[in-house]
Amino acid sequence: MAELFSLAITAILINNIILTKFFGMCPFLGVSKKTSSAVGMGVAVIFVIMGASIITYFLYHLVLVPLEITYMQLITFILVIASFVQFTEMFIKKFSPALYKSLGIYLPLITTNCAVLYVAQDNITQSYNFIEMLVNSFSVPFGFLMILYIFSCIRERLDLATTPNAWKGNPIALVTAALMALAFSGFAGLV
Amino acid sequence: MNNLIYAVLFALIMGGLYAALYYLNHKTPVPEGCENLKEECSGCSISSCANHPSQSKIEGE
Repeated sequence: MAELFSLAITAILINNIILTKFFGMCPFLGVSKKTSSAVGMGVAVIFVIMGASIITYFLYHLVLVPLEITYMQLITFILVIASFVQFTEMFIKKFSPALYKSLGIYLPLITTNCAVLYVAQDNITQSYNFIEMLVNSFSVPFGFLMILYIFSCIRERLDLATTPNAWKGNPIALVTAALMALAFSGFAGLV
Repeated sequence: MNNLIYAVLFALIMGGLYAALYYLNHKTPVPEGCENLKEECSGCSISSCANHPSQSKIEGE
């Protein structure tokens, strides 16, 4: 139990996917202008990463390993993620228009989010068992959601602050992201 | 040799699955009131992303 907790804390705070590995920078900058958008994107990323990780985990252990074609791992994972996003979008379009209204616009953006592929690959390279895989697949996108939410709150306040013209928009956002990364580096050594 | 055949077959199956889901997704009608849900984005230069402003220009042309 302690190991799972440690795995979760590491994924959320210490090895945060945005601030230490720089994955998912596109939605981090593009969808962090409003808090509501940031939360919607974060929830959609949690759902897609969890789903894609479970599918890729079973596909790897039940198909790629027995057939001895593990070198197909990368292309398989890319296709699984792209297919899963298409299926999810189609499913919520058909059965939950309200959910589509709040999450639908973020789904195409998730296809280009390398964080999803990173988690799927990480679960295999770290040789996690099923429970560890589930914890990691939830914790990593939860860390993504947390950082995206904090960053969007800061950006909403930055819009009201007096900023030199040359620093408005992405430049000041990148400086803020750098300061956040510096602050989160303080968690190193926590676990 | 068998491995290579399995790999090619597997890639074809996965590619076919993606193509089928892509087709079905684009065939599924968008719910009412969700026709113009484009998120304004100027965050990165991935022009293939559906939220990128260049995609709206292509649709408009």
